[in-house]
Amino acid sequence: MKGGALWIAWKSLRQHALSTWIASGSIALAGGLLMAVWALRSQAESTFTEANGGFDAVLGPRGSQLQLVLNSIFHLEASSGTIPMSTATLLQRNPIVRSAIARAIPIAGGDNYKGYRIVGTSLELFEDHEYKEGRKFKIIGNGRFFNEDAKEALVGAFAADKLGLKVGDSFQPYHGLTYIEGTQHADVYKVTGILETTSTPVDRVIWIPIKGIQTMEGHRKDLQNDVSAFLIKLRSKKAIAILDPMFNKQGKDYTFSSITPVMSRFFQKFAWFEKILELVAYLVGLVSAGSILAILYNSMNDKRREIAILRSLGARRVTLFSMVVFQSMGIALLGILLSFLFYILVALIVTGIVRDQTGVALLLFQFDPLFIWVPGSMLTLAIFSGLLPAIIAYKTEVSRNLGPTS
Amino acid sequence: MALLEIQNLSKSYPAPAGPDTQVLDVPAFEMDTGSRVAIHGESGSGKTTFLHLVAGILRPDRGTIFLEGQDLTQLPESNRDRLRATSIGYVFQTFNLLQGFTCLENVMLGMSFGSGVNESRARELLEKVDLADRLSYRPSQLSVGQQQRVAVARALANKPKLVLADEPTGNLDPKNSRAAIDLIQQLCDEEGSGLMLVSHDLKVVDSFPNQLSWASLNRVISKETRT
Repeated sequence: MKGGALWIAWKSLRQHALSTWIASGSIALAGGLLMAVWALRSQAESTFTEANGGFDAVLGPRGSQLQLVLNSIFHLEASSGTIPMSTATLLQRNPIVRSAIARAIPIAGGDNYKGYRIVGTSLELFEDHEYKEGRKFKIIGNGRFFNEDAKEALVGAFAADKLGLKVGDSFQPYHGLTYIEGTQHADVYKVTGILETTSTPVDRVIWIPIKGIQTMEGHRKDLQNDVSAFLIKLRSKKAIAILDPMFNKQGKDYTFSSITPVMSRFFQKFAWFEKILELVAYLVGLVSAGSILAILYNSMNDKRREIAILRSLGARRVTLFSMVVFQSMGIALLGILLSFLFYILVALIVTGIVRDQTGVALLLFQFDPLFIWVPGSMLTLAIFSGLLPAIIAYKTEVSRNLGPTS
Repeated sequence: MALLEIQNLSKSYPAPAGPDTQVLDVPAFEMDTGSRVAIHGESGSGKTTFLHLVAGILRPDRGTIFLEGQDLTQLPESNRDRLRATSIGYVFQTFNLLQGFTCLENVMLGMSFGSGVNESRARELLEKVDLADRLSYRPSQLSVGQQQRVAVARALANKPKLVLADEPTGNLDPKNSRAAIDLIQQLCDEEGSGLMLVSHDLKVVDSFPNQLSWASLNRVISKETRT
């Protein structure tokens, strides 16, 4: 490598290390921010839209569609109320509904164990339902699913890990969705199985038989036959066009919420925030390009003599032009490398937070075309920023800049 | 064949007002291969311009400069650059070492655009100028005498046919000055390079077998002297 424009450029960057790091740092910030904003937006939207637990819709009490989905699928937010368990019978009686729905699994919530939600459901969820195409819930090791008539529990992998629960352990649920000491129910549940990781919100939940929630000591007796919602798997997504108006417009007792469109609308609400972050990233990008230009341009004044010396040693104009362009590329490449480190750091933090809060695993480390075009754009911008100083280097008059004359 | 042959060389610079100022008018000059010539003249009399023309850094207004039979004035700039990189070594008054580079790298830099980097030769040259223990030092960590020795080693890095030395002792004390002149001559002898030195200092010029007065070479100066 020694000798030539590349070597001289490298040495020059090292000589002006502080300026190099500052310019590279601004590129890293811009590139990392752009990649993080775009990757997060696309991943969060696609993951949350697809993290439907294998269901197409939720049928719940009258209220907000978003709240219903967040509560029933993502186990966030509070329930807006309850609906009778007998709703299942009503669904069966209506021939249009019966033909449209493949599966309707009841869930009932309202309790927690040390902050992790306890949700009542039927065994059908674990034995028959596929949470992703071709994937059913599995138990880790020697555990088993719960007995619907016993005070038994299945614990999601993430919750089990965080709570330290294992098969054979017993626990007493706490009342409400928020963990408050001293609000324990008298009922004691025994863990019969730990579910394998699914990277869905199910991982954060402690599952008990639906009767358990309905008959829990301290719960209202008049709601003992109610559930929070029915998770619905349709035979065909076309049925949404029939069921949505049937429940939401013609009926007044229920809310039918189709998961994907509701989540898409939810993410559209954050579009303005993404735009601001995007704008900030563009501005940082421009500032970084400007800083490369300023650093190289200013250094040209000091470097005219060095350039003249190099020319006196036989360096061609084009070699010096290349040298300056290589310098701007070097700054950009270092910045790009740092931008990936920045991105990895942001991605690790964000995936950790999202996993902790929702159980959903964002796939921020899989290939995305933006990992090519963002660095490519930064490199191009840097090369353009280096052109003016490179032209100055190209045009430097040797004789005038070599020093004293005799 | 002569190493360097100059005919009717003339150079003017644009003046801020009025006609161009002629600084150089050399009707003829010749130098044999491996010979050593010292030119004595006052500061600011156009000697550096003369060396820049010989090195192909500047283009004359008219005249020819043949280096080993090749007319520099007819070559395009890139070819002159190439010729300078391979056949000419330059020693400056202010040394002109690159501050971000070590001694060794400065010498290797002299090879970069010519025969290609040869680290062992660069080391060998620095040993010859008694700087074997300063290879990784930067110019700012050396004395002025040592810096000039690095510059001499760099000038000879490509085994040039001709070494041009422009007031090489201008920044040195008498002791270092004497040593630098001896070193340049010795190394040029060893490498078989011709040496053209310009200086305002008669003591420097005195040690050369061939001495010329710049006034006798440059008709612009001789005219001024007459008037």
